[in-house]
Formats: sequence, structure tokens, C-alpha cells
Amino acid sequence: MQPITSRVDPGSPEFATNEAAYHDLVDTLRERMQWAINGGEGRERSIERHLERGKVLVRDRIDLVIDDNTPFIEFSTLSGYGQYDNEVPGGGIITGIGLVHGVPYVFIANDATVKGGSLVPVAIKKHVRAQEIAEENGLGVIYLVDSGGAFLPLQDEIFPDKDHFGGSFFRQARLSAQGLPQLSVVLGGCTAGGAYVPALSDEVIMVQGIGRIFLGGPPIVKAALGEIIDPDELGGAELHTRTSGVSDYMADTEREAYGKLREICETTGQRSIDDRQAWLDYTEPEAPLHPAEEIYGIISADDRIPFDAREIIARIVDGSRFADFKPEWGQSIVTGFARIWGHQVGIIANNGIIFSESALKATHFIELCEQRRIPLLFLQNTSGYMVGKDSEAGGIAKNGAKMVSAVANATVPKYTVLIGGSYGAGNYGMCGRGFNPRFLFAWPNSRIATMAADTAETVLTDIRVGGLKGADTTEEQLAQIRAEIRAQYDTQSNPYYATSRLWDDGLIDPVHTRDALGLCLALAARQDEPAPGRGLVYRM
Amino acid sequence: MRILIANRGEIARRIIRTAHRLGHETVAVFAEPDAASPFVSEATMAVLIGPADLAQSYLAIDRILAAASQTESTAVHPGYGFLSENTDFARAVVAAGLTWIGPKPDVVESMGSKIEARRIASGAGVPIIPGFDESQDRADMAAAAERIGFPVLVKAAAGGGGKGIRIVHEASEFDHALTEAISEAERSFGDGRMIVERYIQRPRHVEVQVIGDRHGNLIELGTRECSVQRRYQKVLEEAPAPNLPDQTRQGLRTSASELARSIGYDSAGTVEFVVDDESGDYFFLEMNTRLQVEHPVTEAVTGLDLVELMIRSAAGEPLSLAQSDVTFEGHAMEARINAEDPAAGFAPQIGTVTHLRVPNDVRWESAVELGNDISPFYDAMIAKLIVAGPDRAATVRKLAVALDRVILGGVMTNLGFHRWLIDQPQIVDGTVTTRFLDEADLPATPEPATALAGAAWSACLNEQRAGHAWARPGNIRLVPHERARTVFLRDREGTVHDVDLNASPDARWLGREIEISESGVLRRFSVSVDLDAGSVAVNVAGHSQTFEVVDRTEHWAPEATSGHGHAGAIVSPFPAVVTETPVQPGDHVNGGDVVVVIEAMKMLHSLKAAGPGIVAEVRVAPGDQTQTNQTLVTFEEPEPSDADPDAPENNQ
Repeated sequence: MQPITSRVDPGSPEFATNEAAYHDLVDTLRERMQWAINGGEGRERSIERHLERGKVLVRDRIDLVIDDNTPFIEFSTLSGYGQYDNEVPGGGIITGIGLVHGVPYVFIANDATVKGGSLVPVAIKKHVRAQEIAEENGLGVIYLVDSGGAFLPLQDEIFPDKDHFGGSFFRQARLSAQGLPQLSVVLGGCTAGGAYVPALSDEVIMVQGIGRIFLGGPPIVKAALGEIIDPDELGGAELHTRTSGVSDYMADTEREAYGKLREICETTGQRSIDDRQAWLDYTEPEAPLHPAEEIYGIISADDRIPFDAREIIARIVDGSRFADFKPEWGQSIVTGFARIWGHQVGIIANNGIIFSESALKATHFIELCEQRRIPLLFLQNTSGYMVGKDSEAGGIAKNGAKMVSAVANATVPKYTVLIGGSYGAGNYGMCGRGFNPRFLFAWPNSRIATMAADTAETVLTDIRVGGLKGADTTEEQLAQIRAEIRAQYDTQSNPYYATSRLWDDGLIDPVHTRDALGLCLALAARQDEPAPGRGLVYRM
Repeated sequence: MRILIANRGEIARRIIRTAHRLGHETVAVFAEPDAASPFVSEATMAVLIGPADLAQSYLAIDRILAAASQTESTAVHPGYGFLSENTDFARAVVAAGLTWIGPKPDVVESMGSKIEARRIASGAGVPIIPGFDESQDRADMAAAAERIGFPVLVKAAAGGGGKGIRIVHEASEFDHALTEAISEAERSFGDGRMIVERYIQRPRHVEVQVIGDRHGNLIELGTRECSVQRRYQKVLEEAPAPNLPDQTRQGLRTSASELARSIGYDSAGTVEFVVDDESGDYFFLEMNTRLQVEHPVTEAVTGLDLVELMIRSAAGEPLSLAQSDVTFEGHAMEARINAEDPAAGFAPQIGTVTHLRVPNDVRWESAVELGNDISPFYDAMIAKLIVAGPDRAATVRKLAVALDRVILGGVMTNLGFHRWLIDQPQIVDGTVTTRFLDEADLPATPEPATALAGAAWSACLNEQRAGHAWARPGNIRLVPHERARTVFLRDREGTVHDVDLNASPDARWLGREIEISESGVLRRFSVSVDLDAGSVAVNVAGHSQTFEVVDRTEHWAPEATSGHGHAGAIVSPFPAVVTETPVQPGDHVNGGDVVVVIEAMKMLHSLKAAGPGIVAEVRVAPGDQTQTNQTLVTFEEPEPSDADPDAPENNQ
């Protein structure tokens, strides 16, 4: 397999301009991630209080559990960003994947320094999404519980619906039934519904003095029964380990609990990350020939100027090697085979608008990968499928639909990265969130919406003007309508808006892309080969 | 020849090497604890001759000869120690028709007797320490003292242990000192007889290597200094002996060859002298009729192979060189590496060699390789580190450098002691006497270098991990959170240290060393890491500090315990009737001690203490009915000293 010849000139003025602009994007990403870690109104004080009580900060807790010197993929760090008056950094919950004795586990850990670890709607979404990741990737779940329970002011957005709190227990019970260990360490409150997280776990450890489980806490007991009771007597580690049996082990300290947890993990019989199955082709990894940092200078500072997806691929894949499939046809989509951290993948990347030919080429390539059991990686950067008379007459709708059908029905693991625009049906055909990629990451320059803000401004203005029914619209009114539409699109297509709502599994710095994908692919490699689907019906 | 080596350890390997180089076959004889020792596998053949007990193995002449016969050996090399100077063995070897690779048995015998050796030396004109033991008359003794010259030593003829000994510096003190010594000797030994002897104020141990053949040729190979001794055990040796007046050096060499020649010495041997550093006078001590431990320093400066010369002489070949052919070049030093703990009075240590790094540009003679056990049955010396340089100063520096690089981990050794030693001004200047070590203030053992060990572990791990992304170490976290990186290192005392790697300097792994940048200076530290075994060794001031990397699981998880007690109390696990309460308030109990016996469903159940404690309250008596979770006995927190399960009051 030949390496991609890069045509990027890192000495050019364009490169310098792009790079400077992207550095700003990355700086902003880091700042906002830092906010999620320890920022926000009054956070400093609550972190202090947490530490004063001898409790460990949530990310440090995870570090104490996972194997030394091993990675941790943290998901959706910026969930909740800009929502809830920007008072719930990270959504008050951390999810991710890390190794314990070489076995990957999903971690779901409450951050008690954010609203006492109480669960806002996006926290539930993140909790459920982590369980979904566990199911798809065949991973056990470790719950580090330290939560005040549902955030009651928003109870209607947390409690009743599918994939609300109830859905998380539904999933937990079923994950356990699939043989995926559900393990809890109780490091704080587990009140009301929260009590079911440990109660539904396969094994539970409670830490004395801080861990408490009760269906109704002391205030509810007082209100309901008039009893005044000490929280430890009501639901402390001793009660639950000695008397109720809700907990299986009692630990004097968090460290002891993590030691016990790791001991439990020695007995779960899960495949280790090194236990690669033969169906996913693997060879020793090779670093790309070109540094990932050059991506900063490749992505245009002006998002109307396109960049070549091959230049990005060259900075993500092993040895920058890429076997370009059908390179002379349907050129607005790049397809081909490569390896990431040793694992073979089929890559589908946009080089602009999707035409009928590009859609057919992508469909063909998806079918090849499905046939050969090669995971698919989608690199989205498209303004969508081509419109216009010729395109419609050429059957773009049915050709686009072939691509969408093929993506929807592909049974090999799929991964998506938003490296630029993700607009319209392009989002669907390129395996957007609705098409259940195993993981979906986005770059801070990405945009996601039904259409670009420029297009929306024109289209929606015309519609709104049309709706005003004959009344003359002044230039001023027109300008105001345009401005409103543009503002809405600008806001809603912003990647921070998207990641805050969990439309992705996290914004990542482009230089981390290869690592993130390598980590994710390795998870699939330890699973059995996914069962192939039946053939599809293609509208010809 | 097929040479049976009646020895073990480094000297067996040393002999095997030369024998094989000359095309001879070798036979190792070994005792059970040595089954895995390198010398056994390196010999052409090996015979198990017995258990650890020396009398049934390395000292069992009949068994060794049986092995020789069984393997059709044609020669025997005795090495040093064990049977090397045993006349019966030498004679038995010869009688069995085998070639004895050593001096003829008669010589072994005559030099084996101190009195006889002294007589022969004296007869050959070799100076012996002037002394007087012919009379117990006080006047005769005083006259002898005058004749010998002050200072003199008066010492008990039956003496030992420093009792009944006085140093007399002037004639006027003699009478008084003699009275004291006699009285002390009478008290100590019941025998007041005295010897008067020349007192050497600054004694040095200098010896001369000789080699002869069976044709009457004999040459000497110069001096060795062995004054660095601890309780008569040599620690550091060098060749040639430094800072000797020419006349003394020449006298030593001439005396040694004259003595050897006078007895028809026909193999490798060593004539040992005491040199008075004040006067340059020297006196015969004894002759060792065998290869010496420290022979490599002579080999280093002469370019000869003494084992080869011994084998050739034993085979009847004439010496291949004459005295005038012997040339000396440069200087050499040998550090004896012992498995012992200098900080614990040099107590012998046992263990497994888990790390071994031998620096370049040294000669390393070792009994052990990586993975070998050091057993308690034999001598503590497990290796010798020999360096050679163009002159003495360079050799001293090179030994220091080698000691900064060498790692022998898994067992405590005197390597750090050697590193301290080589910095001592008397060693650097070459002015030590045999009293040096007994009078020196020994160095403190350095603190465990956990930061260095942690950095080494981490650097190696980072380098060695390969494969898919999960095997990649470190900080892939996608968020700007600095991963807490703690490694837990258990030192040889058993203490587990939490080492925060984020607080340690970043180190680069160089294979045998790590490189740490300290304000712009790249420093290298000799380290050894065994990733599979989870073990790290670092060279700290010469010490090979070894650490076991402890998994957090083991370190943090509570120990499995049984019994119904917790720290605070014993509770009834189910409803039962108390049958026995064997403790009283105030009693000290240990984990596992029975505190209450209850009966339920016709079965007796002993409720045991979970850990050490003092009984505070016994709330039930025999016959009482208990309920589930009813507290039966409570404990006070034990006082710290009582927490020690070996404390006598708890040992009941």
C-alpha cells in the first residue's frame, strides 16, 4: 500500500493563516474543557469542600481504578456546555473507557462537585449513552456513584420518557444479563432512583463514612414518617453490608474500595484488550509519515474554501498508506482502505458536495467493506447532496438513498468524525448520529445543521417573506429576518451547541483523532465478528 | 585432559573458561543447592555429589574421587578454599593416577604448618617477625624487647580475642605492661605465659604471586596489596602494591621466589607478607599453595593466564617464560562482591539475583547469573569486579565509575560499601593498613531512591509498550486532565512507597540507563527494569536498590479475613446460646483468637477476633441467649506496641 503524497506546503502563507486560526479553535476547546474539569460558578468552593471531606475528585478516582500508564477515552466532556445557565460543567457526570487488569470497562462516574452530582437531563443522556457504548462494544460498566439523585426542578425531562432515568435501569439490568459485569462503588449519595444503580449491580462496594444508599433520604423519612434519623444509620455502608445486604463489601477508604474493585475485576472473566479476534485484520502499527499537527494548517480558516480529505487521511492512518478505491470516478467522495493503529478500516471521506456518482461509489465501497468485514470510518465534510435540475433528473434522491440504506444496514463497526461541515442528508449518508456509529467525534471547526447558515439565510428568508402574504416588507424587516435566521443557524450549527446536547461523543483536538480511533477500533477487535445482515433492496 | 574441578562458584567457572579455551574437557561436581548454578551447566559434564552439607559434598574426598572415576577424568583442579590445601586430597588424587593441578603434595603439607613454614622461610633467609618465646624470665623478656626494638607487643601465648595483649612503646613501660598482660592472661586463660614480638604500627598485607613448573623453573609475578580487610577477610585488592620503597618491593619479590624455589615449588602460589609501612621492613606471614581469589589483578598487569600456567605446569610442560620475560603494565584492582549487609554488621544475605547489569570495560567473575539463587550454605562472595587502568589513579577512578554502573539486584550486597570505600582518601592515596576498615566509620545506607526507581519504571514501560493504541502508555485522555500516575514500590524492608510519577522528572529510557534532564544537564543513571516480574533496580551510590512494583489491587484491597468480628466488636451471627466466654475485660487478643463460643442447631461456633485488640467489655455469659447482630464483646483500640503480634505478652 502506497503512502499518500502530500501536497501541503507548511511554509506557505495560507498554511500559516490556517494554523493560527486553528490554534485559536484548539485554545478555546482546551479552555472550555478546563471549565468542565474545574470551572463554573462556585466550583472552586465545592471542589475544596469535596477534598476537605477526604473525597477524591472524579477524574482522579478513575485514575486510581484504571491500570497504570494506560489511556482513558473520556466522552462528551463538554456536555451541558451553555445549558442550564452554564452551571453544570460536564453535565456533572464523567463517562469513558479505561482498562482494569487489561480489560476495557465503561466508567460512569458522578461529579459531586457539580450540583452535588445531581442528574440534569443531559447527565441522564450521557449515562444512557455510555450504557449504549457498553452494549455495542461488549464492555462491562463500573459505576462510581456519588450523586444527589435527579435534579428535581427538571424532573419532567429526566424521569418519564424512554431513555430517561428508567431507561438507564432497563439497560443496566439487561447489560448484566448479557454477561457484561455491572459493578458499583458507592462514594456518596445514592438516593431514591439512584439507589437502583448499586442495587442492580452484580457487585457493590460501599465506602464507610461517605457512601449512602436509601430510597428515601432523611428529609423524606422525616416528612413521611416523622422519624429523625442519622443518614449513616439509614443507609450507611455498615447497614447495607452487614444488615440489608444491598452492598457486598465495605471499605474504610476510597483506595481500599478501588483495590477491592480491581480484585473483583480479576474474576469477571472478560476478554482483555489484547485478546484480538481474527476477523479484524491487524498488523503492527506504523506512525503516519506526516505530523498530525499539520492538520491545523490544512483546514481552511475560511470554511468556504475546501480542503482535500486525502491530506487529512495522510495524517491519521498508519504510514500514511491509503489504497484509494475508484479514485477516478465520483471524485467528491474519497474511498479506500487503510490502517489505524494496526487495524484495517475502510474510509469514506467527503471532498465537497455529494453527487449521484459519489453516492454510488460510496454505496459500492460500503458493500465491499461489509462483504470483507472491514470496519468503516466516515470523515464528514459535506454541504450535502447536490440539488438542481440535472441532479434531480439524474436520480440523486434514489442514489443518495442507496448510500443511506447501505450505511444503515452495514453490520461492521462504524465510526464517524466530523472534520468539517455535516449538512443535510449528507449527515445521514455519512453515518451521522442517527445511523448509530459506534463512536462519533467532532472537530472544533465542524458545523452541523440541515443546511449551511448562508443557504438557510436565503431559503428561510424567502419562505418567511412568502408567508407575510402580500404585505410589503421593508428592507429593515428583511434585514432583521435575515439576521435572526443567521443567528439561529450560527448558534445551532456550532459544534459546542452540538456536543453540549450529546449529538456526538465529544469534541476532539484533530491531533488526537488517530489515537481516539485506534482506541475505539481495538475495542471492536476483541469482540466476535458481528453477524452479517441480509441483502438490501436497492431502488435502481 | 579432562579436568574435574573440585570447587564451585566463580572459581569453577573461571577454571572452566581457561580449560575450554585450551581444548580440555571439564567436569563439575556439585552439591544439591548448586544444581542451577552456572558452573554446573558450563562444564562439559557434571556430577551431583551430595547435599548442601560440605562434609558430604565439596569436602568429601571419596565422593569427588568417585566422580572423577565415573567421568574418567584425568586431572583435578581444586580451585581455592575447600580441599585446595588439603594434603590428603592432593595425595589421594595423585594416588588415583590423576594429574593434580597444584603444587606437589609435600609442599602443600609443609606450607600448611605455620611453624614448619616459618622455619623454612627463616632457613631461606626470608625475614620473619622478630619474637621471643624461649623464656618466661622477666629480665630475659625485657632484654629481648630491647633487641627486637620498640614498640613491641607482649601477648599471651594462649591468647586470643585481644585479651592479655599490651603494646609497649618504650623500655620504661615494659615492666608495668608485662605485669598487666600476665594478670589479664591469667584471668582470661589461666595461663600467664607471654611472647614478646615486634609490634608493627602500620601493618600492610602485601603478597607476591609465584608460578613454577615441574622442571625446577620458578618465576614471580610481582606484588599485590591486600590491606583492605575486614576481620582478616580481604575486601579490595590491587596489583602492584602501591607506595612501596623500591628496596622493599624488590626484597619482597626476591624473598618470595627464593622461598618458593627453596621448596621446589611447581605451581601457582602466593607468599604473603606483612609490611611495616613506617620502616619498609617486611616479614613472612604464610604461603598459600593454591590459586588466590585475587589472582585476576596479577593477570591484568602481566597479561598472563594463571590457570593456563597451572594446567601447563601440571601437564609437565616447562614454563613458557623466564623471569626476564615478565612485564608489568598499568594497574588493576579487584572488589570482592559479597552477598552481605554492611549496615547489619555484614550479615550474610540470601536471595535471588533479579537484576544484573555488568558495566563495559571491566572483568566480571561471578558465581551467579540472572535468576540464580544465593543459598546460605556457602561463602558470601558471589562475584568479583576487576578493573584495570594505565596507572593507579586511573584505576581508582575507573573502579568508581564501574561501581556507579553495576547493578546486582534482588539480594543485598556490599557494592555500595565498595563505592564508599573507593572514595576514601586512604584508598585514593594508597595508604591503607590492615587496620583501616576496623577503625573506619562505616557509611550509612542511603534512603530508598523511589523517585529514580519510579522514573525508571515509567520510562521503560513507555518505551517497551507497543502494539495497539491501548497498549500505548500515558496521557491519551482527550481532555487536559493530568493523569494521576502513581507507582507503588516495595523496598527490601517491605515498606511500600507511593511514588507520584507526575512529580518525578521525565526520564528517557536508554536500555541500561535512564536519562534525566536536570536544569539542562542530561544525567544518566544505571537502572534495570524487569517489566514482566514488576521489578526495578537502580544504582544509588553504588547500592543496587531493588524495588518490587506493587499492583494497587494487592496494595489497597483489604485482606481476606474470617470471623465475625470487626475492629470494634464481636457480634452474634445468628440466634444462639453462649457456651463459653474465654476472655476477660483487659485481655489482649490477636486476630484469630477465640473470644466467644456459641451453640446453635447443635453446632458449636467459635467467634474469633478479627485483629489485635484489648477486650473492653464482655456483655454475655455462658447460658445467655443471643440475637442476630447482638454485640457480645467489645474491644478498645490496641496501643501501638500491642499491635505487634510478636510482642511477648500477646504470645500465649
